Amino acid sequence: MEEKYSISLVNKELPPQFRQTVSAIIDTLINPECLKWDLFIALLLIIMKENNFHLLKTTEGNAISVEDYILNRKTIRSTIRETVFVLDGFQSMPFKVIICPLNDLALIIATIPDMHIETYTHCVKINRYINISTLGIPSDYINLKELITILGDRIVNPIKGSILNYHKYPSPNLFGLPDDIVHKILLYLAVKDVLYVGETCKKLYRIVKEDRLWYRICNRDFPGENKDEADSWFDVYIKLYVSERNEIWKNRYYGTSGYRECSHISDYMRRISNSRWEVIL
Amino acid sequence: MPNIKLQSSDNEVFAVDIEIAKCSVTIKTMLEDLGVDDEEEEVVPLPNVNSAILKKVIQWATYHKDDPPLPEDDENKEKRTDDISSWDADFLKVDQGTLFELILAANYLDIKGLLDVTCKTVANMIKGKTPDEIRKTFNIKNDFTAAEEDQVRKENEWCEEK
Repeated sequence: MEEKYSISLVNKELPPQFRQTVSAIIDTLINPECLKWDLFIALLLIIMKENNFHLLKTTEGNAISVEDYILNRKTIRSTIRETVFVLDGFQSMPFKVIICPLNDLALIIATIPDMHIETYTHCVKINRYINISTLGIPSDYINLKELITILGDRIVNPIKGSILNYHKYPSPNLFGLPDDIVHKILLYLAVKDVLYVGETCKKLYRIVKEDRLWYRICNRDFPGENKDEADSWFDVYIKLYVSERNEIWKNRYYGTSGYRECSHISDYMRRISNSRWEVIL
Repeated sequence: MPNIKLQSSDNEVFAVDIEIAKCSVTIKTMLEDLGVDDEEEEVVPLPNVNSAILKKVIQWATYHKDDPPLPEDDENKEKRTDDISSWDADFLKVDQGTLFELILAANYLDIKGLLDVTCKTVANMIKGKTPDEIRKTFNIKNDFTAAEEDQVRKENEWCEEK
């Protein structure tokens, strides 16, 4: 009954280490039905590895290579695969990535026990990414770049960001950047967008509320105004913003507006909130 | 052209044209401070940048090596985000992790052009989104209680359309 399955793997986007691991999967193939899950899981494990995560043996807590994990997978009877990882340098904080196959969906759950709210989940339609031949045998990855991006954005990077943030290191995520860089990004945005960023979480709220940011936004949006007696640049901004808005409304009411007609009030407000409106005129 | 060797955090060494490497103010200052002779084959360690990101940074710097120097930032001017060149836009079609790693690397290496364009790209990802859409885009966990969230929203009411 020994049949050899072949996988074409012509895909050039595959992570470099991949071919080797995939041949290990094929060589130890138990059941073609499982192959698509094996391929999917192997890909996830390798993306984790490329991001400096180490796979641990679930029970003993020793490191195990992706190849060994794949070769030993016969022992894993349950359909739900549970893996344990640590991020390089943060050995004290292992976390679990659980993959649940639900028909053609893979539900991925990543959770860090030390941080109760830090759970990341994503559901992937597996047939979109693994090509099943007419014989019912998975034969290649498709839309691979998309899959790598999704797994990176939804699972791998958020986990990495959480762990780094927890230890107060900069992390490759919006909320993990140094304050100055977040400010630089915010200065490209209209005030409404800036405030919305502050509404997303406590850390970004604190960064958005920093008064040195509002000093810079004041100078950007109201460069000529006299702003001498400022206790809080945030309050100064609100005052200038509201009075400017009232001015526009008054002008419009008396028909002396020099501004282009807007078909709807929301257009009007959009322009005001799009920071300097003279640019648009 | 003389080369310089840059060593990534995972110990990969890249030989780079010295003029290209100098678009990083950090490297430029380092070389000046060390008084490195062009003849010597110096290896510059960059412990904060891994090889995948360093490769991208070198690719960016090589493409932009003949760009005129950027004007000093005028804080009082409107900042545009729609002026990203098509090459840069293509170059930055990467996953978010890579994009943010590039921001951290550009900041550490002090490469203004790369920092500007990566920050603009992130700004464009935020523009016009609701707080919840921003959370979804960047995988931000909402750690406000319902009451705190209401409070923050109320604080920001002055900016809302009425």
